[in-house]
Amino acid sequence: MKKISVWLVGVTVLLLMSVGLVQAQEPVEITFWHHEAPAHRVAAFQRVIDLFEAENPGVQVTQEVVMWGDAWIKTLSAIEAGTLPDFQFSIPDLMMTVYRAGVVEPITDLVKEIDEAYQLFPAQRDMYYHDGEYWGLPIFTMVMLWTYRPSFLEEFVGTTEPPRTWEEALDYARKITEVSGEEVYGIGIGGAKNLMTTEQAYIFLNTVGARFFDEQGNVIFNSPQTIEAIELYKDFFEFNPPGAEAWSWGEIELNIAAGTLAMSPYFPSVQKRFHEEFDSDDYAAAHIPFYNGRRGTITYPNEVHIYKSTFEHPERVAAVKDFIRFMMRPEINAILTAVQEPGGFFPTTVAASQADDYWNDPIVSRFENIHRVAFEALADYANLYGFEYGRWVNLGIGDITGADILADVVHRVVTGAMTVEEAVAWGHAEMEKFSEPVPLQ
Amino acid sequence: MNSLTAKRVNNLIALMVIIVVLLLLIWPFFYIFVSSFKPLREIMARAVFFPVEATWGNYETLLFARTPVRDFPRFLLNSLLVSLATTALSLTVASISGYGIARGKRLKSGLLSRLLLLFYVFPTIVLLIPIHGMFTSVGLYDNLWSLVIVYTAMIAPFCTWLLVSFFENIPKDLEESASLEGASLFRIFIRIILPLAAPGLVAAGAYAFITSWGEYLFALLLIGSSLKRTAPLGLATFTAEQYIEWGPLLAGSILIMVPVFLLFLPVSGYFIKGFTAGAVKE
Repeated sequence: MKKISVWLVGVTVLLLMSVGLVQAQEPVEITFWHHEAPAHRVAAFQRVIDLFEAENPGVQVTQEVVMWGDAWIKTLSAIEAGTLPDFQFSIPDLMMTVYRAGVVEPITDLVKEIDEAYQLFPAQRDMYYHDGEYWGLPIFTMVMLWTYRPSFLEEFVGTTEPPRTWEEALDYARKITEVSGEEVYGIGIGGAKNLMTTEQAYIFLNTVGARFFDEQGNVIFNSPQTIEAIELYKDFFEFNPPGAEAWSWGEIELNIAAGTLAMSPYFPSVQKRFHEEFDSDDYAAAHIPFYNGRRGTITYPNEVHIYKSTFEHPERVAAVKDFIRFMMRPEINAILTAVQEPGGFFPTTVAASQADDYWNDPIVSRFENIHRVAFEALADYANLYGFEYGRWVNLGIGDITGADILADVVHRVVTGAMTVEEAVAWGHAEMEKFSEPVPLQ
Repeated sequence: MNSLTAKRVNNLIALMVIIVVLLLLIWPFFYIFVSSFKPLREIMARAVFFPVEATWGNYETLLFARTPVRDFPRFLLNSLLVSLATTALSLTVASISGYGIARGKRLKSGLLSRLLLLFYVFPTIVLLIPIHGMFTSVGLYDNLWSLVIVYTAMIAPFCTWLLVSFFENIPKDLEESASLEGASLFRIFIRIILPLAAPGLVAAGAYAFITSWGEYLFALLLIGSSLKRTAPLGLATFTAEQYIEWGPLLAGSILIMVPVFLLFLPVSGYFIKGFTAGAVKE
């Protein structure tokens, strides 16, 4: 009897051990959502995943693409239904939406670790700082610059130098449009109710010194500065191609490439087209011109955040953090920036911005000056509406962006539906509806 | 001008108006079709209507260039499966319920049939999140069957009302004769009623197929894996912000229309008849 008991115990132990062994050998599966659907961007992500999996055989990473246009509804419904991925890429506005839903865990330790190792650009890092914690880690970032076609400036203005002031820029826009007989238009800015118009209009606001909120989070949109900025936008809009009231990203890119536009405050990402399709250097970007001695532009740090549901599985959290660390290695980060979308995505750390892997990319090296200007702008004057103060001041910013209020103000002005003053007052009232100031601590 | 000449002139004017309207409607599709054979260089250059260096490259990219999250032929197949299953299920439900309503006067004026109309006009967008939660809880999230079920629920009420008018036009005498010959109700329904209501079934089927083929929002929420996307979702992946893949997008826009054209054109007569049936009572 005793022998049988010993034998049974032995068999049970062996069985348990073998089950444990099988479980230990099963790979940890982690899934993330990002929003970059073009084939070459997906391929860049997959290259990073493959390299990571080769180095970490026990982890299996799956990427899923959710289009930016669908990101809010898909994320919110996944929160309700409990079908979130382990971690997700987002931008500050979307991050705030998930934060308010209470489904995200802070990753302060990881941010500090990366900061120490590679030096995150403070403005990029701090857009995810709130309530004493970092809620997301910026992996790559975007910045709008003054993009232009040097040959058009030379032909119609008589110089290859980009404008240094807004007065000069307006003069360039007028000359190009008039001298070319409207074959080429001086400027490309949108007037539709969409994110692109919001971003372009924000450059005007930022340059003039207008803000959505003050440091206490109160809405201060209806100000002389906003009115001045929208007036300036309206002045430039005269030298836009017809139909720009309905434009989105595609129209700007097509018109830049087609040679219908000479200048546009835009992400300098069209360089990939110029390199691959036209084999042309006739594309450049400069700093945003000065207005009364100041200038501003927009930057969008793309971060990753980890969901609370992932923290129920410690092995998955560890794998996710390892993958994030891996993405932040300068040589790997170059794949997600220079390779994925040169000019579209820039590194968020000093180390990655100086990496040879970044600067040796053929497109980056061909349009090297654009990248140098971009890093200067990122370090100097680029910021994002609602996130200018190094801390969150109004939790309503996600909804304000989602409702495209700034773009709607512009749309009402450029279509003649309202005067600038009326539209700005209307926009202020709309922002107040969503406003949720964060009390100073 | 005699009346015959006047009639001819009127007909000619009507024909010209139809041709102009038709050209205006067809023009964008034709432009997309022509442009789908342009290399990207030509698409992005100043507009030239016909391709200078025509290429199949956009179609090749669309059909053969796969990524871990994009496989357009598979997206088309997913859409085809979902649409066919939705059509079959919707017709089954709608023909049974439509026949019941057509033959039961109480049923037609009762609460149940009115509820059907209510479901048809109900703004489905408010159901998005509850339905997402419901399908997740029963394990149907990220499953194409969830789309079939939702689409059938959306489409069957309209198909039912579409078919009611067809069933009402079938003389009851035929059923009574068959019944006297000993045929069961099921047999009468299958062998006599359904064949006579074929134009209505074709119209309802076309409606079900086309509606489910083009649906976007429920597919977006209920499908999680990129490779289980339906064709409209797959097509949208070519329109990323700051980088639109124009060539495959144009080619995909053409391909996504093909099944609808193939299905719709041969049965368009039935479709129009289906929608006008019952409009005038004899």
